[in-house]
Amino acid sequence: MNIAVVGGGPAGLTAAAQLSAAGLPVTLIDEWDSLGGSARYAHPRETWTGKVAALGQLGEASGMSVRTGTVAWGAFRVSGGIQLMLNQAGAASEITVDQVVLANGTTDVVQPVSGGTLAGVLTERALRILVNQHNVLPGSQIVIVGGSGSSRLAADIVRWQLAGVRITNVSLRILTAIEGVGEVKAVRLADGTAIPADTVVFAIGEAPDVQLAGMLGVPTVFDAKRQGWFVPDSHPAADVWVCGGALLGAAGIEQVLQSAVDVVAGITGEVAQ
Amino acid sequence: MILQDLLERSRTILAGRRLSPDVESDTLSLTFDGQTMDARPSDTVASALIAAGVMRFGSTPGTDEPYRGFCLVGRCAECLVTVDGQPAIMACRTMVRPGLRVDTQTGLGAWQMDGSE
Repeated sequence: MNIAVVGGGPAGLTAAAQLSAAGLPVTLIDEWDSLGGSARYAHPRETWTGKVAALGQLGEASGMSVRTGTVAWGAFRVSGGIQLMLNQAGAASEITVDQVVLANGTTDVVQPVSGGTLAGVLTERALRILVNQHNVLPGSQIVIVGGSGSSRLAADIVRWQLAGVRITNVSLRILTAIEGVGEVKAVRLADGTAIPADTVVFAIGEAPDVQLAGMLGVPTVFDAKRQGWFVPDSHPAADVWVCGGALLGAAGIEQVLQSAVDVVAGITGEVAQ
Repeated sequence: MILQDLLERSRTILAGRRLSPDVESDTLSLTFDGQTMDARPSDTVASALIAAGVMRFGSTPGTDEPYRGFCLVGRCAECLVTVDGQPAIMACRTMVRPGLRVDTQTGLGAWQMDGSE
């Protein structure tokens, strides 16, 4: 039984490494040049990232095939199984597998607010990438819209405030517009007040990437509260498994890793039968 | 003691937008619209530009809306720049290299053929 795991973040790496260690032929596909997914831009104090790196080594030691820098842009059912369409730096290829594990994570939710296209408007994930991966704080007057991911930023926010950076948290509900010419200058609220700003961060949630699941005919359900489409469960078709953010949306690391462990148990259980 | 701690922490922002402590000390040079700019070897073009205070990467014709870093993970494709003469490259998906030539572009941009490549 051939398995492809799409996404080399915490969930995908866990699933791929454990399946490979169990003796199953696994191909792990990730669009970035290095594995780790969100672990690449986790806070340096997050200790679980070390475990994720160790998983990559475990997987490679057990002979799993790793294809980094490769986007899995399509998935189709063919007579031999599931055909995944790949794009590696512009070079097209495809692989056919019996089972696919979708661990391709989430995308930040954004809303088309007036002024949302100005330079200086970022997603919460983009802010974490700048801060945690590149050691860059994009501005000195930062307005954070919404509260998602705030716990991941809380300690840093205090540190930045002590250093004189102005951080204001506003609800999406009271945001009227982001103002400026080319670049962000202020955030206008429903009561008419304006908050001076050079950076606006959308922190209003993250939703699963369900495109590949949809291409495989897996029904998805819109969750109005979480503003995203979700697959119904971790095994929505006989040959499809879903774990990590692609299943859960925004979730803590323990939940993410557990969802991968559950998928591994499901697959190895089926193989044993 | 507490005051000292606060003072220590208040020095966490370096000159520019690089946070301290800055673990990576290596720098390399690239050019942005002909101006020399420092970057870290681990930077993407997008993080190097933002670290240098450049939020606006280019512009679109008509409405003059900016190209800019927005998602930084290659989803929104709003960070298009011209890299070594090749237009419409995502700044967030391109690692810096010594001597890299990055230029702003308008709209879809244009190939810059200078005969040297």
